[in-house]
Amino acid sequence: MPGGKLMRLVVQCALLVVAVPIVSLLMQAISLQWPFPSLLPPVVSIDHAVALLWNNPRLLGAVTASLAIALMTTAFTLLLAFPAAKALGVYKFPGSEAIKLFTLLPIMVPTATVTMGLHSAMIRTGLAGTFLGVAIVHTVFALPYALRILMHVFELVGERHEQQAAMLGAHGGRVFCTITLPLVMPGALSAATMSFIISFSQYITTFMIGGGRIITLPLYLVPHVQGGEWHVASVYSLVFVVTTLAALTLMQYLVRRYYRETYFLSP
Amino acid sequence: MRHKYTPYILVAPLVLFLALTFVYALFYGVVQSLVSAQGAFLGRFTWQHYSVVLRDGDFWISLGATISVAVIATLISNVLGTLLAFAMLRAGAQGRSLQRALQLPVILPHLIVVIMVIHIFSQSGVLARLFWWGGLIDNPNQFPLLVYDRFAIGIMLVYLYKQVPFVAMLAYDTLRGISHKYADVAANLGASSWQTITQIYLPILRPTIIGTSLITFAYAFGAFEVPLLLGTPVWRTLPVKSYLLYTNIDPLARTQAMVINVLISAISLALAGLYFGVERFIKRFQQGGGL
Amino acid sequence: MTKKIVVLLLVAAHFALIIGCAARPKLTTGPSEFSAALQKSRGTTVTFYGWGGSSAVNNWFDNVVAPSLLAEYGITLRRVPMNIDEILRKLSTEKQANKVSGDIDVMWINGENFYAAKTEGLLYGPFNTRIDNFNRLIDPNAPDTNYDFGVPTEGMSVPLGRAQLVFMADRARLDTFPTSAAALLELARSNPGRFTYPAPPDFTGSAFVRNIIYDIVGFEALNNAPAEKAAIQAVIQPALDFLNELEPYLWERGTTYPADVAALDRMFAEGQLLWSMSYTPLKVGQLIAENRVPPSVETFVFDKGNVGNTHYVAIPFNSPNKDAAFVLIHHLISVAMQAAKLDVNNWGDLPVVDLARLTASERELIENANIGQGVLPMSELLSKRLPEVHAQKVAIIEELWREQVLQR
Repeated sequence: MPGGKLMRLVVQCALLVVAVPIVSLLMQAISLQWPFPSLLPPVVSIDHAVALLWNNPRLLGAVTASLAIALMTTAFTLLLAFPAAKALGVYKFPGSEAIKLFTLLPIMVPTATVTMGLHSAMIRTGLAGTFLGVAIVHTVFALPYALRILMHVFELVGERHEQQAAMLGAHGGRVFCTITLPLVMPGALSAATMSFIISFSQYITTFMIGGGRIITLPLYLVPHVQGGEWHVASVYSLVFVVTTLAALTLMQYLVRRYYRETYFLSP
Repeated sequence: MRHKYTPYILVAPLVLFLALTFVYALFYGVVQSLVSAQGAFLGRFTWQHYSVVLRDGDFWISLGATISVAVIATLISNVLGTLLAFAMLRAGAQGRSLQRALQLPVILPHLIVVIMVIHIFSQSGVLARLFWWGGLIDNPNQFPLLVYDRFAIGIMLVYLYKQVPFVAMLAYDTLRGISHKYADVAANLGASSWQTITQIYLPILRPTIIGTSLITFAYAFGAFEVPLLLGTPVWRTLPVKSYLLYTNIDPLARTQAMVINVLISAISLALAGLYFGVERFIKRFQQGGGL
Repeated sequence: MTKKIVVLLLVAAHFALIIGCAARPKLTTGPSEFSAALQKSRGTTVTFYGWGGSSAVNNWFDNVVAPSLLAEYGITLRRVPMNIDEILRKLSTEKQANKVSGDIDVMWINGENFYAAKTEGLLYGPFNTRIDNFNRLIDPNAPDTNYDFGVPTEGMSVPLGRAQLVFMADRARLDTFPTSAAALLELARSNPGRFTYPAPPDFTGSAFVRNIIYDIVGFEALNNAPAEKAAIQAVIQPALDFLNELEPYLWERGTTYPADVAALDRMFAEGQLLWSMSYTPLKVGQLIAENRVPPSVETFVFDKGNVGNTHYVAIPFNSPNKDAAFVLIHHLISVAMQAAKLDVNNWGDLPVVDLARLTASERELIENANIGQGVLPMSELLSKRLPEVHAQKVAIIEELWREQVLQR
């Protein structure tokens, strides 16, 4: 394999490629006029960007709705995926392969198709236009990812520790809380993160099932992209990035703290 | 120790949930694409809409274009992603910090990446300006068309920005888990770097790459937002075609949109099945004849 | 500052309203019906659905209409940004699912979407004469009161505003503006790659193609042709030939086109193109006011005129609060709101009220509205305004453009 120096260069380049677009977003957010070929916008205004953020109850509402739906989706996804991942990851049973394949299918079908199909059913059941309805549809698309991640973890962890604990006389609930959960916690965190991200960036599903009653951040953002209001779109994009990062960091921090306090494990 | 039915009870809620949502939605879509008149639920079924869609020459151009874009995006992002993961592995601490940074492209919705790509790669974008300052071009029109172009480069760039980090992150995780064990053993036994890669790393990466390939392909094949905003009007991908039909005033066009949706789903599932089949075949072949 | 102006406008309009009502007590339906709606809707919420892609439009709804609606009628306005095709998809799904009480009270609509909504039975009405301000301020015989893109409105929609296709270019970068198709060709020839237009079915691009057709074969010829592909093609062939002749001098030699007007705007703002276009007639005024383009940018139209249309509000079949819907529409077409809408700092959209029906003070309100820099005066826009043809023909032209221009 080539030496570490070259590899570090590759990694640094990758870091640059990731960072540059974010910088471009920041520049667009504050620029008013930016004709070719200036490298820096000649007419800038921070006031404009601040005005879009400050005292904007609709934006605040969109952030809250996004967070609420993403948390609901994460909860549903984990509740459904956790037991299934344990069964599929630990036990071999007739039909397990077929179920694994089946649970992958929502990834393979365009979101628009599934959403259009569900829309009228959601209306009939009264779930259309509710947070619950939107979260349910997001869960369909988050499940395959979360299940894969958790399954993988259960495959690695296996059943040995639980069996040992049970043999030593621990009952089911205790085994789950003290053995299973801590062991799969990193995997559960990844699965939760993934579910959260998927829900947070959904557009067409929220749009159709939410019926306009529910305005999440992407819904707030999209009309400005379509209307060519790049500066506005850039400002809201940055709000999106900051909100997601903050929520995920908080989630990771809480889990890490729980870990450290309960099990004295090093981070 | 455990009951025979325990695993079934554990998977039941998930399977039931997907049956009530996902399977129902697919079934409903298929029914909608087959009804003879708009709104007639229990009316007669007809293949007429399918024959209208399939007889349109434009459909086949769109299909070819959509598959090409999806396959190329999948290939490039998985190869680059895997290579980047190897580089990260070798780069030590920097690799770990990059992994943290790579979360950013993963959390960004495609739509925001579209804004970034236009700003950087359009003919009057950042890159074109750098070319101008370097004296390579005199005006924006001399810069090659990289967005809204007929080769779908702009669309591809969005997919790569999202998917290469995704593949790299997952592959890096997998590689880190095994590197010090197997690779060291292999090196001690005198394996060359090339042998280490092909015999140790790649087989271990296989499940990760299968997963990421399927995800990348399915997204690129089925999503309409990115090609709608960055594509050329000369040809449209199937999902964009479906979207434009769906927004057409003619109710018949909406049924045709449903037909295209069903076809996209069917083709996507079939290609995934094919990929799985070929992959298994190779695996079995290697297990039989390999080391 | 703007708030103060709005308040002043409101007060002025209130006066005007009282005087106006006193002078014209006759209404098609009894005033009791409308006052009943006023009473029943007080304290409720009305939901408005419409395209939300323009901050200027959103600003008018959120910061001008909503507070005054609450202050005057005690109704809370909830605005939901949604594209019209998605609104119709939602309504059509709701109709299939027999949802009798929906989410939308008032929606913003026109053209082919109105035609689709009407044929699919997604609209409530006729209702226009049940609205006080409609009876008082709108000319019932105006063509756009009765026809929307050639489709009879039959009282199922009320005009909200008038839009018109305009072109814009920067005086500092271009001396002569092309005011006809022939001049455009000439200019494109001497500035290859610096002109283009959005590909239909983009709304603005589609209007541009019709504008070229009007310039070359005239509105009457197209309007008189039956809505069949062969007949339309026979009529517009000279225009299609012209677009093909223009093509090699366009951006990227016409091998591809911007997919939407947003892309065109961006290329113009960054200096790549010499012109842009908009279906918002006072767009340049807005852009200059926001400092988005230099003040040397000016608006122009073709000598023979530019295509214009009227946009409307309608009530869906399953509106849950029809009383509040009536009051909202009443308020939207009031002189105060129409004058505020004309103000370039709010929206910059032409009013629908009939100037001849207004009192002197009301007319002053409209005439004194700040329409901004770099725009054409309302009188010139109205004198160079060409009507839209039937929605079905629009779709046929879009198809012909794709076959005969794009794919050749």
